[in-house]
Amino acid sequence: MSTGIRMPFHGEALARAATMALAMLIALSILGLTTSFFGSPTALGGPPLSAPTQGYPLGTDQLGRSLLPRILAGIRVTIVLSSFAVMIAAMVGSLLGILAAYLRGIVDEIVARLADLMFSFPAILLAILISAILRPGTPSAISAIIIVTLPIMIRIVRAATLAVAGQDFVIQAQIAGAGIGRILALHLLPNVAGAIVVQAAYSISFGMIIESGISFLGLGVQPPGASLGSLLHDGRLYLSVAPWLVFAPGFVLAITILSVNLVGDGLRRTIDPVLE
Amino acid sequence: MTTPAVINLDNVTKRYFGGPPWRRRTVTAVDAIDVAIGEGETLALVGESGSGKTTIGRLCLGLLQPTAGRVLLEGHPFSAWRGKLRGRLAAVLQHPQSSLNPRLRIGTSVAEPLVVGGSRARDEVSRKVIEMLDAVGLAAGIERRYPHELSGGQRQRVAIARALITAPRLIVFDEAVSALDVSVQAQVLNLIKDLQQQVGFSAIFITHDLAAARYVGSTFAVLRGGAVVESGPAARLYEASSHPYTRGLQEASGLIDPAIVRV
Amino acid sequence: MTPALAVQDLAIDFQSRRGQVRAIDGATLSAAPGEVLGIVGESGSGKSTLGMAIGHLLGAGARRVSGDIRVDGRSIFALDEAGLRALRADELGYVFQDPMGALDPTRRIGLQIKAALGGMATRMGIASVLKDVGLADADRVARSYPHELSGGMAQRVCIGIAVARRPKVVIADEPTAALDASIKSQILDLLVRRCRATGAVLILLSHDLYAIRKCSDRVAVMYAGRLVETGWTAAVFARPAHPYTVMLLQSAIGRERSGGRVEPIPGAPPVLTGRCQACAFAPRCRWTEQACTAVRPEARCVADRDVICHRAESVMGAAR
Repeated sequence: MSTGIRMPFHGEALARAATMALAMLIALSILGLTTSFFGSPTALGGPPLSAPTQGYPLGTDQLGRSLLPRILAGIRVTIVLSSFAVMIAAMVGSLLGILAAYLRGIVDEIVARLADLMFSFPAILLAILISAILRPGTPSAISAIIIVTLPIMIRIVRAATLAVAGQDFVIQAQIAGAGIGRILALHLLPNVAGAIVVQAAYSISFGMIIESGISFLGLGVQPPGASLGSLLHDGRLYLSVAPWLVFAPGFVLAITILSVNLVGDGLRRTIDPVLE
Repeated sequence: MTTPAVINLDNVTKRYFGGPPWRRRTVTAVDAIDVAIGEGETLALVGESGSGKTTIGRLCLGLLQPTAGRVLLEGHPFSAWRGKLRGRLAAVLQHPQSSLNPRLRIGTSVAEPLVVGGSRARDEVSRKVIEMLDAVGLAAGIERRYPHELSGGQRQRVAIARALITAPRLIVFDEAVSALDVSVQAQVLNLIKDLQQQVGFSAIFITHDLAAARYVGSTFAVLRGGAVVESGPAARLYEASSHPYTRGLQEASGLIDPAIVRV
Repeated sequence: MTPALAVQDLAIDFQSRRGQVRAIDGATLSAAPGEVLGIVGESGSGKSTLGMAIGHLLGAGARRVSGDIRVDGRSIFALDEAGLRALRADELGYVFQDPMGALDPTRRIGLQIKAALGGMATRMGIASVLKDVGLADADRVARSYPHELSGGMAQRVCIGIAVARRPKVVIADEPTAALDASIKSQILDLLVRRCRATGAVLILLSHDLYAIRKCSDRVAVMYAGRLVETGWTAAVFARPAHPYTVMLLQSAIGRERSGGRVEPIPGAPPVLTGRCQACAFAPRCRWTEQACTAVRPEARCVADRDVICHRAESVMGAAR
């Protein structure tokens, strides 16, 4: 049983590679934000729809903006947006899941049925529906990810807490007279934190898929903001004349999602190796 | 009864109700039991699964409410004590591997009853923790370790230290040595006996193991189907009982087998 | 006569993230057909590892360092996948501590017995397996799922399955530890009876000294991965030749007089990381002398048993 996460994943070549890839992507995007080494994501004036050349390593879009800095900005938006949404969903979902599993009874019934209800909608359809109801934009993308992630978080955390809540040390805390707040914070939460972190990693990657899908349909991140998905939206009209506008962001998006998934796998194996 | 009992179960019944409303099932776990435990006494509660012994333990800890009857501490029903019960009752439970929060250091776990009970002075609490760990025979420095670094026997000693730290009136030992190796059981049982002489708490020792019951108990009660079938001084278990059920248990454990040499 | 089971100087290591652990450090034993051999040991002795090793059931982290295991004269390490499957199906039977965990919760009992019999069983055949283990209402039991049976009944079913194909060796690892006292002896007696009836060797792994004493013909005491004393049960219990056996018997509650005090064995069993070059019990032993901490004792025959101890004669003489 580990007392923490040991990086880099011991003997896990794939997870290690994924972590480095992800770190590199994040580092590049931060560089893109803080320096102008890669160019400016908003500067107009370059030759429109030109192929990769000197000065424009990944070509330009229809407004003459260099694609590379836009992709780097897109990485940032994609990761940050999804992570932020999942973080909120994780906090709310964990609290509900832990309370449901510890208190049982009617609280458990209500929370479980609520989660089932949310869970019964196909995720992407639900996300599109939410974005269409709210005004298209970043907040609706975030809301969509939260609503889709919440039921999974509740279920996972509830299941993990059920396994912990019946253990003797929780009973001992009750005998000692500990209040529910202390039991939740000191005894239950630390012992399900591993499950939360692992699920969060997977949810972030799924969140990125959702956001990209919504943005691709034009319902998510709006111009001038750019996420990898909205870059796909922008570039789709020019697929036949400037294919790099679609392939480059698409490729980076795929790598990002894959890396987060592999990092999630690595975390799961480190934190819960029993299932191997 | 000359001295007032520390713990009293006064005609206590505990029933569980289950099943859908049109097919209610009732399980009577404890049936109109009268039990009294005096000062410094260890009651060995012996029974098989389903006998009600664990339920009695939980009732004495206030974790369960009786369906009928009252549970009394020093003559007052539990309901009258309200919040002040905490600290006067403690428990050592069966599973060494789940009795301590794996995320907390030993010292933190042992200190918990004090901290929850309102003790704020950090130094005072630390001092008491080290004193308790020493009293149960654990080496200095163990308060900084984590549970997974300790053996089963060591974890049970930690559990005993935690149980003692608020100087409780009653400690409930629920199958406290059942999960331990044969040669370690005697260690922990000796520790319980010695500590009781030094510190003077009353105890309920719940077990299915007659050998442990007669070794550590001053009085005993055999439970079957929620009722007491035989009770008396624990030393009596060293001879063949006149009650058929008790005798059956003695024979099954080899405790009255003439072929075995008593050392 | 070929022994039904022969373990020859077996050594097994486990590889884990924390390093290497030697679970079995040169274990030797043999069991004649039809006998009941009890193996006594506490946690860390290696007895469960030994039990699983006989069926080549240890996981990927286990490595055989040396030695051999022969069932009916044939080495299990010489078998391929098909051979091992045949070995486990036809020649070995296992009874584990938790009967509910050993049975498939999603299949009826009758089907599980049928599978154990090789899939060609008739209703009569299944019923007779159940009747042989004392479950008179065979049809009802065969139709039940495991969770509908009590612990004792489920263990009877497991025993029936274990001996169904008349195996050469039955390995029972703490078969009654999870059962109530009043049915422990019934189940143990049943296990012994069925093994004798089918001619199988019963290897009974247990920490319950009384059960071993009652049921086994011979007993082997296991400590730190070695069988430190092996001999006829009554003799070993009456006059133990190995210090660990002596101290184990003395540290067990149940044999003391009223008011007496039981002294536990000081210290804790070692965790070996490789071959132990001296006596593994020496740090805790009352009879330790110079040779015990320097020279690894080998098995030798003292009086009527095999002991691994430099001082066996003195120990036997001193014990009551």
